[in-house]
Formats: sequence, C-alpha cells, structure tokens
Amino acid sequence: MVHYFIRRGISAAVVLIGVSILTFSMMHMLPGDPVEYMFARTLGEGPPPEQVEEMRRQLGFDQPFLIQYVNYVVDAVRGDLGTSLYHRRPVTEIIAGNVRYTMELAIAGLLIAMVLGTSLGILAAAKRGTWVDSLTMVVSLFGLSMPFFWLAILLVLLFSLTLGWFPATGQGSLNQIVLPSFALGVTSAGIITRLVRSSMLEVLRQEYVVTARAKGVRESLVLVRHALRNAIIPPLTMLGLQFGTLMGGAVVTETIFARRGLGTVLVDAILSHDMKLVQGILLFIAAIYILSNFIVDMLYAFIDPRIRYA
Amino acid sequence: MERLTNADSLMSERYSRRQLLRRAAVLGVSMPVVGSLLLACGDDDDVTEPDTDPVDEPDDDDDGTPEPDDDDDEPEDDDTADAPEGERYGGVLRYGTLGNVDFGSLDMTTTTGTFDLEIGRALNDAYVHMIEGEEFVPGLAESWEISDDALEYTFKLREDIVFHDGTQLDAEAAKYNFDRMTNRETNPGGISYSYLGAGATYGGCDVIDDYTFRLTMTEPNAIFMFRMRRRYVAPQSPTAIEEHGEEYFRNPVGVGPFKLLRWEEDSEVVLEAFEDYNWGPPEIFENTGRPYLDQVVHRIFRDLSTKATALEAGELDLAARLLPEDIIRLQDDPDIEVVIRDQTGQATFLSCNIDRYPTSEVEVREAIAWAIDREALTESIFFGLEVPAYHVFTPDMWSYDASLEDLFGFDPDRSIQVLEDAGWEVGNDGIREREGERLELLYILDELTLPVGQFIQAQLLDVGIGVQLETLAGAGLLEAQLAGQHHITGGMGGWIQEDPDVLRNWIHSSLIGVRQNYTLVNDPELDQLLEDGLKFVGDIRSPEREALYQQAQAMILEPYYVVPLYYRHSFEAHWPYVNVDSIGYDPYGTYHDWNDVWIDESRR
Repeated sequence: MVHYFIRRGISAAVVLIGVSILTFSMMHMLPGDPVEYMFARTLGEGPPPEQVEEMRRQLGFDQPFLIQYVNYVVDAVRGDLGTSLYHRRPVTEIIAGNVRYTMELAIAGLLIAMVLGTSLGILAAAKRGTWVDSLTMVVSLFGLSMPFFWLAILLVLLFSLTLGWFPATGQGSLNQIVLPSFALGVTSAGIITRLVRSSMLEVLRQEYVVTARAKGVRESLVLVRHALRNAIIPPLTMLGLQFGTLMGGAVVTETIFARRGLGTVLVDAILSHDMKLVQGILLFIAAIYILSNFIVDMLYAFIDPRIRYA
Repeated sequence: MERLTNADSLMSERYSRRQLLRRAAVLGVSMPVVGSLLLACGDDDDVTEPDTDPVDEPDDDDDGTPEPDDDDDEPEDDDTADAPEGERYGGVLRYGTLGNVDFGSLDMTTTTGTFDLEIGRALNDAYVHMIEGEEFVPGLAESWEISDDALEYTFKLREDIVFHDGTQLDAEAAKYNFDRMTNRETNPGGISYSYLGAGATYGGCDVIDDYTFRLTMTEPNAIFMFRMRRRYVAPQSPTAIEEHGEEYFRNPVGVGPFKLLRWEEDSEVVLEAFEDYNWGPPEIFENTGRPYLDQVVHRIFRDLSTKATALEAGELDLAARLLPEDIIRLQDDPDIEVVIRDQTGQATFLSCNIDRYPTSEVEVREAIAWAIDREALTESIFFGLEVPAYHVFTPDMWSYDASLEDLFGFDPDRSIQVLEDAGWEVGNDGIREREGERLELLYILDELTLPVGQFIQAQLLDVGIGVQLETLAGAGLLEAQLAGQHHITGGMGGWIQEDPDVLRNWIHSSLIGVRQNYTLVNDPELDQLLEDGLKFVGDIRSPEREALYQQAQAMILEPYYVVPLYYRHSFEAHWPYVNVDSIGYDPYGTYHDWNDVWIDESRR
C-alpha cells in the first residue's frame, strides 16, 4: 500500500510540474507585453518608454524565460505565487479569499450529480427494458451532452424571469445556489446515471442477488441494501473525478450567474492581463484536479485490494 | 449590375443575420455564450475605452428609439419632482456598474484604469465643475485666477470642506495631493500624473495662505482647467494616506457625497451617504447636501447579458452599459425603461496605416472611405441603435468643421472609379491587381468588433479590395497595432474629451510605435498645429485657436488617414421607480452622479 501510495504520489507530482510548465509558457507565448498594456489604458500622454522599461525590470519581465520559470517554481514551492499586478496583493491571498465560493458551488453541483445520478440510475436499472429505462437514458444523454452554460441560460429564463422562483444572479443565500449548482451538476449527473445503471445491472445478475430474491426479500430492499452497496463503487470514484471538472466548470457558471469565486477572478485576471494571477489560478485548479484524482486512486486501492498489486 | 447583385445578396444576408440575432437575443443566448467566450479572449476594446460612452446633445439623434426626452447634464431644470423633498431620503440603489472587471483602485489619484471613475465620482469632488456651454463653476475652489501668461493657476478653496474622516481640506492638504500625484515614486502609473502634465509642463504647487494654493506651469497648457475638473486630481485625505500607506487604494477618503462602506473584491462596492456633505454645485444639482440615497451598491458583471437578466429579474434597479441586442429586447418590456444616450467627442473610425503599401496610397484610402455603407452597417450590426458617422468628431465638438463631412459617404462607383484611375484592375477572383500586385489589406481587430470587420470586408470586396481579418486580444492587439502590422485597424474612436486636443492622442508623430498613433502619420506641420493648440495662451475658445483645429481636422480627413464609421451610444435601462431624470452625468462621460437620485418607494 505504501509503495503504491509513493508511486501515485510521484506521478501526481510529475503531472503538476508539467502543468506548471504549460501554464507558464502559455502566458509567455501570448503575444503582447503586459506592462505596455497596463500603461496603454491611460490616455495618449502616458509614461515615457524609460518608465515602462523600469516597470518591466522591477517585475522581472526583462529576464530570460528559463530564469523567470525557475524563479517562479522556487517561489511557488515556498508558497509564493507572486503578486497580482491588478489587485496589488499576493496571488495566494486572492485564491484563499475566493476558493470557498467556488468550492461551495462545486460541492453543491456534486451533490446534485450524486443524488440525481444515483436515483435515476437505480430507477433505470430496476425498470430495465421498459419505457422508464429508455426515458431515463435519453434524459441522461441530454444532460451530459448539453453545454451547461446553455442550460444555465434556459434555467434562468424559466425559473427566474418567467416563474420568479429563484434569483438569477448573486450569492449568499441558499436559493441563490440552486440554479447554478443544478446547471453545473447536470452534466455529471448524466454520466453518473449511466454508470450507476450499468453497474447495477451487473450486480443484479450476481448470484447473491438471486438468493436474496429467492428468500423473498422485498425488491426495494434487494436494490438498496444488496445491490447498490456493491454497485456504487465505480460511480463513487467517477464522482471524485468529476470534482475537478466541476471546479473548472464553475468558471463559466460563475460568470453567467454573476457569482463571486475563482472563476470570476480568473476572468478578471485574463481581461486585465494579470499574468501572475492567471498562472496561479490555473495551477491551483490543476492541483485540485490532480489531488482529487490522487485521493480517488487511494480510496479505490483501499476499497479494492486487487488494485494495490496491479 | 454586378455590384447591384452583390448589394442584394448583402441585404438578404443582413436581414437574416438580424433576424437571427434578434431571436438569439430574445433567448438570451447570443451574449452569455459569445460574451463569456469573448471575455475569456480579452475584451480589449472595453477595457481601454470606458471614457467613451455617452452624454447627450441630441443633435444627430435620429435613431428612433423611445428615449426619455432629456438625460441632460443639468437635471435640475426638468426634474419630475413629484415627491416632497423629505420623502426622497432613504433607500439603496442596486446598480449594475459599467466595468466588466473588478475595480483596480478606488484612489482616483493613483488609478490606472478608467472604470474606477465610477466609484471615484461618488467618493470625490472636483475643484471646479463644468456646465454646458463649457463654463466653469466653483466646486471645492470657490474662486480661481489664471495669470496672463497662462503659467500660474491660483485656487481659493471653500473653508467648510471636510474629508470623510473629519479632517479639513485646506491648501496644505491640496499641496500634499499635488505633490503626491506628480511624483513617480508615489504615483507610478496613475492617470493623474500625465493629466497634470507632470514630467512635462507641470512646475509645482505652492501654499499661499490657509486656503489658497497656486499651481505653476513651465509651459502654457490650454486644457489644464479641463483637467482640474476631473476626479482624477481630486483631493484625498493626507491623514488617511499616511495611515493606510500602500493599502490606501482600498481605503480611500475623499470629500465626495458618498463614502466607502465596503469593497468586496470581484463582486461589489458599496457606498454610503456622507452625512456632512454640503458642497454640491447648485449649478448642477438640485440637492447640494447629503444625497437622497442611503447606499449605492455597484455590482460588477463580467457578462453583459447577465447584467440585463439581473435587471429583468429585479435584482438590479439600474443597469449601465448593456448590449444592443439586450436593449432591443428590453425596449419591448413594458416594465422597464430604456435610456440611450449620444456621446460627445469622437466617432469610432478606422485608422489607415500610411506607412504600409498599399494603404500608403491616398486613392486606396479614398476607395475604402466611399465603399462602406454606414447606414446598413449600423442597422444590421447594432439594430440601428448606433448612428453613421462622416467625421471623426461628433457635431457638438467645439471647432467641428461640418464641411469635411462631404469627404465621406457611400458611393461604390466612386471607389471603383478612383481605383481604376489609379491603375488597379479587377483580377480573376474579383480582387484588383496592378503590375502583379494584389489589392489586399490586413485588418487587425478585436473579437468584439469582428462583426463590424466582416461587414466591411464584404463591402470592400464589392469594389475589388480584398480584406484579411486578423483578430487579436489585449496586449497582442496593441503590440501589432503599435508595430504597424495592419493596413487598417480600429482607431481610438469613442474617446471622450472636451477639447479637440484629443486629436493629439492618436495622430501626433511622437506617439508612433509607443502610443495609439495607428495611422503612422508623421507630419511635422500637423504636429506643430496640435502643439500650438495645446500651448495656446489666451481664450481657449477663441477663433484663432479654432482655426488651428479646423486646419488640423482638414489635414487629417482630406488625405483619408482615418475613415469614420459610426457614433457610439451608451445603453442603460432601469425600473421606473428609480428617478432617472435626476441622475446627473459628467458632460463628457458616462459616469453617474447620484446627488439628486432618489427611489420612489410608492412605485416599487
């Protein structure tokens, strides 16, 4: 187990380094000079070129790419992701101040995916071959293929503008998270539904289920107590993997629902060409993704011993 | 005949495009989707151009939209005033603010971003104010004197003005601020630095007595008084600056009608009425004392269509800077009132790079100017909400020379004739050629103006000019433009300024490669004219100075360095219970003054 843990840990670290190189070089490959741009927002009589050069030097943008990267990594390891040009405060502080809003949304989305996905999956499996099954499968297909930002707009149109049940924007109260989390969670719910269904079908064929039925156990008990317990493992791991995706999806969802969080900060940072902040947030989201994968791997190994030795 | 067919197909395309956009707008689809993608691509245009929007001066106001008649600078004269004075107090205004990114700094004297001014206007007050007719009236300064050589400006402050922290505004405090603004150490990138002419014409600030200070110039600066009315140079509390140091931009303390209650980064800024405020200019506001509103919440929306949705859902009372497609939809909503304002200043125009072949030839530029149907362009892309422009200035700009409008128009036959006379013959694929060289142009633009670019591309093709569109964003766009990689590109149109000196910002040769001179025009005679205008001594609205700028306009427009396209407007909407007639506006900006605004609770 320890061996496996270390192996997975190393590969996670390698992926993280890869991501840091990618995000760093991506920001550098973008055409244009961030300092020039910063000053260009003012009127014609801006600062003289020497001033711009001085600023560039202060920010370290005049150094070769490799040195800039090494400095960045060294600082990052120390927990310093640099200072945001626009907000004039440490990137880590900005991330820390906003991460809970995004987490909130991602977790709410995850809950929706879990509840919706599991119940629909069980329903489809239980009613296999009937119209209920087909309908559920069609609905889940819609769910996972529909762009969630489009769904978000439709939800706002129906539930905010027409029916007036939920607010269209903002955060803070419980009813403000309903629409965004639903929009965000539906894609994952579609995936989970299909996974739960196939996993359930497999388990329902097992002999112990037949035995249970033969003993005269009620069908609902068979489904929940005997079948679901075993069938839920693959969907659960999938749910873990979905968490990273949901964090990323929160970026767009936050924009559409005008919510606070890492997503809006990231959009702001891109708009204001705040390179350090963009890098920091991308790295952070990637790290969450890698971490949730890692945890899932660990859990899986813990639940299913065969994996450890594979 | 061939051209006619093209025009026909264009018309039908236009129709269907419009239909499509309308439908999309109704669904609310187009912008949230496109918008969020655009946002991610870097909406350069919007970050750089906030000075743009509106004002009013309904000269060319023929857009046929139901407009609340008067959104004037001086709201007092037409205030509806159907509620007794006392009942107007109270309430919170939820406002969808102009900017689509978080505020950069709430300290106007060191800010580098222009959207910050939204907050800056409420937190601060100006030394002098300007009313229509370009007349200056007292603000924080009760009187002022300009020396005959235009090198000394002496201001006498009112003696009853206090900052939000209770400290007194006196000459020492003013000097503290001017010294801070004109020092690169304390003000590295602030707009105020160049506004005051620091590093160029600014000499220094001296305290004369407790409430009198004098600003000295090293050279005359005709537009200096215009700068003194801006909130960018408004006084900040020296005590608070010393106390907060580096963090002052988050904790600004001014003398304006509102003070900062809280700034939730990336989300909203909440302002609260300043109880002691008592120095509003009576020439501009009916209410010169404490504002009627208790609070103004400035909410930030990245996606402009979401802002419209929030208004419709009743989560905002007033939303500024909406998209034309949303405005079209909101106009049909009986509950919501739409406000469309003309802008004063400049048109949106194309800059032609005269340093790059073939736009180096005046015939090619003239052909471009006459090939674009601006009526069709504004109708199909902006639903007729923007207005065609045939001059770089709006007609109400001082020194406007209307005779130059005749240089522009829509006449493809004229374009074709000009090109043929210059030896450009139609080639096999419809694109003109001359001695083996094809008449093809590179048009560099940002994502937001892409529909405009595509429209122009189609129209130029009709006269045999090929256009390749290249979209870039943010810093990349700027770099390409500064390097002159384009043949044509979007100019710095839409900048509002109160004086034709604004031309200097995009045509003076000293700006080539460093600032926004995308025409790459390098004409010493033109430079000289603009410098003479800037350093003019005497009445800055005199016929002598006007002649300088009329000559400059002709020197820019006659060789077709730029091609005017359309005049932009600002689009706003609000619920009827917001007393919109009482919103004051900066005569040359889109920013609101809340002094007279009140909420009619009985109509809510």
